Amino acid sequence: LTRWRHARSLFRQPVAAPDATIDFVCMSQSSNGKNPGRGDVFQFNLAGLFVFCLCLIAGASLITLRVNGARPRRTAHPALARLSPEEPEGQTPSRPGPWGELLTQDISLQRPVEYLNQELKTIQPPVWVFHGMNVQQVEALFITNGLSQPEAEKALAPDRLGTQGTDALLKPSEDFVFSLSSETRDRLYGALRGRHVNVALDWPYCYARSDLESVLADTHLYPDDLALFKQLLYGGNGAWRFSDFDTLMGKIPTLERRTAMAASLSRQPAVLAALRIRADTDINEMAAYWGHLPNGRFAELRPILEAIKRLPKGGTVSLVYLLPPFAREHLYTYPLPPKPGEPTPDCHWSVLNFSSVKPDNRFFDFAERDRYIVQNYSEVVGPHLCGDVVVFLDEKGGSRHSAVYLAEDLVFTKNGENYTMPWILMRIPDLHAIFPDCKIFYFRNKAG
Amino acid sequence: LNLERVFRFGLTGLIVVSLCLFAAGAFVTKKLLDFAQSSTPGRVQDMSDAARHDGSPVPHEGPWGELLAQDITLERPVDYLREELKTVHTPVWTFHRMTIAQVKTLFSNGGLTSIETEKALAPPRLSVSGADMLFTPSAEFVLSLDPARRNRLYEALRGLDVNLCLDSPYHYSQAQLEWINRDTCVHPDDRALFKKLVYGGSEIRRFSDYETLMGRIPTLERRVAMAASLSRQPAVLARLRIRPGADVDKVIHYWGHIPNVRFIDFYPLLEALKGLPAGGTISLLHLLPPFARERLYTFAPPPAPGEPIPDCHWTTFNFSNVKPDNRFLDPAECAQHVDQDFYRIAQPSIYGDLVLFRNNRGQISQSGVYLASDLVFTKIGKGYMTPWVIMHIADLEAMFSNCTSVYVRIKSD
Repeated sequence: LTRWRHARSLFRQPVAAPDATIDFVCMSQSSNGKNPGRGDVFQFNLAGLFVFCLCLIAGASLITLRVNGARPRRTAHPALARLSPEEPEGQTPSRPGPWGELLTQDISLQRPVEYLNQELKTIQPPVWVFHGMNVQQVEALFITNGLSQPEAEKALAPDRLGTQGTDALLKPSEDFVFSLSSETRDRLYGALRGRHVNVALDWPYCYARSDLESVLADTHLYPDDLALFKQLLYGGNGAWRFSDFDTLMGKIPTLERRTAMAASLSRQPAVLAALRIRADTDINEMAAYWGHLPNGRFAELRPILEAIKRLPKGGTVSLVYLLPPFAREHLYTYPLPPKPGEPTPDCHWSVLNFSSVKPDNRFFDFAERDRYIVQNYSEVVGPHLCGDVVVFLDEKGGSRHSAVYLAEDLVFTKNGENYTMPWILMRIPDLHAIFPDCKIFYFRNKAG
Repeated sequence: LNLERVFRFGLTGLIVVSLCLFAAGAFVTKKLLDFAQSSTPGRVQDMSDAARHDGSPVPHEGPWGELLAQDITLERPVDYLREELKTVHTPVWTFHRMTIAQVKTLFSNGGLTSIETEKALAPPRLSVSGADMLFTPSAEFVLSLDPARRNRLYEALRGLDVNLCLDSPYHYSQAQLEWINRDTCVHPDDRALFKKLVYGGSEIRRFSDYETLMGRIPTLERRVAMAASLSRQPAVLARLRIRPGADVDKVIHYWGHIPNVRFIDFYPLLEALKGLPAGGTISLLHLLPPFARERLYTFAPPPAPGEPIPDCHWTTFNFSNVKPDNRFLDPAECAQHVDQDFYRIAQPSIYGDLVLFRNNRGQISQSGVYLASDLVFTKIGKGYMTPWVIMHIADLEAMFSNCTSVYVRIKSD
């Protein structure tokens, strides 16, 4: 109150300009000794009142303008803030090469829950098919690969084993699957891999340390389910494998828990890639690298690359623009669950169709694709050109996996002959970690 | 006015009066600000010129998620132009099923005097081909037309299938025209010639005499520079940003309802980006149906003889088709489709809404498919000289400023 009165007293001084005099007179009972119950009275002449009102309105407008300017606008199409094209947005630049300047970002893809929900409603027990083998041969295979005689006999008990034509069919019991130690599982499953005994044995889930840690740290998962999962892991040395999906799901009691587990397991490391175009980028050099892909469209895309080059700070263009139609359509997507009898896309089918406009289903046929590769491809020392084929051969010379080389250490790949794996970009070392026992060979289309 | 009149207030009264004045001032200012900021449909007014022209991506938030739009300008590849401009063809105007007298009447109605008409149509410029009259206009005739008469004549000829460039002229906004006139890569004489051939008045600028202009430019290099400059078109490079806290379901619901776009195809990718510590971005290409995905930012190859020439309507109505439907090359078919299957809306707000530009004859001059924010997928005009692009609605409006914007939505939605 004292300060307020002091401030008021300052206003008692008349202003110099007589026309605009603000005759601010303060009268109060305390000052004249009359009317002790009344408060202060403020007196204005017309000009003073006018100026006072104007000042108040101007002050209000000024504050409103300030407040409005500082707040993010909530219009229908707000533009929030400008971003710099230089902003990395989590992308890592790589060593520039003939492909240009690649920016990559590691991501982890997970199967859509919509797919999982449906297929996890009922769980089918796993079936192992030993093609062209009898019971004795299966038993010998088991014993050779880490099981004792009694263990093998117990696993191959008559109620679990059947025959279908020349094949032996085994429905492994949960007890048998869970009884295997990590080492025995690794040895046995390693021996069964590549024999088409079971898709999950041929194409196990593979986890690098960080991927496995993310599954084990997933708080959506029930601890009991995680403990079961841990028991079923095998391999190690930086690359863990998991093949007993059906057995694990069979042990998880509710659909919600199964869905959460399956979603977490389905995480697949992948790479998001873009090309940076700067004002001094040599588009012709890029054209020499990307322009030779069959059904590629570098020439058509040149205007957009030139347009980005013309920007003051350049910009980036997703690698997906530069891919041929098949790869562009499929990248980062999952195959639809196949209808009964329908073939499932695998790595080789995807590689041989990489540049196709319409997928060629001849490449589902093993013999046909082998013949095609022999006729049309020749081995090269290393991948140098976009479109080179990267093949992972096991010690028997069998083709375990293939992918299409794009740039630097990136490949276009679809891992596994099943619909639970997407088409993605991966780094060759990451892919090699999945097939550590394989050697990598490179092939180039003779026409390209 | 009695300045000596005195107004007295008690402390409470003064506070009340002050508060009222303050509130009134703030209210009026806010309303004025809102009015100034309120946009015409689709126009982004708060994007500064600097943001749009220094190449920085500008974020736009909405039900579509967080869109990053970066303004670019596309130009026809010089390789195409160099090949195509080695030889310059003289323009041919075909008057289908018309007699000489009818052509003369058309020219008179287009503002030419009878002397000018006779001179322009003098043999051997006019010839007969079956039931049609073929006219090869001389460069002198074309250059003799002032902008007003050119506008009147070309307006009269438009839509008669006389010539592709007359039916589907280059459209330029004022900014584009200024850019061409300042382009130092283009020879000054060629720029001056181009200026003479622009018509349409102060608000809309068209250019139809491409072949005549090229015929007057003596060297291939100059023709290529001129053609590249003429072909320059504003476009937008768009990406979707997914932050760690993004509502992916909301984004999916917005983008996933278009036929032949399977939301399940890009859901894993969006979730993967959301899982990154700082999020990430994906190209809008992933969210487009195959037809648009195949064509975005590309120019149509020059058509083989007899092959259909794509235009904006064919592009718009085939947007979500797997295989293009050539019925939509017929404007009547497009109009019928709009009448039957679409309804008018005040403003585009859903992916797949159509943005149509109706001219003063009631015809739809240009169309595009609304994507998000103020962006449309479109192809300007008919022909292979313009690319399929994403554009700001505001830029389209500037190009077709003589047209009225109409927005429609498919009934099945």
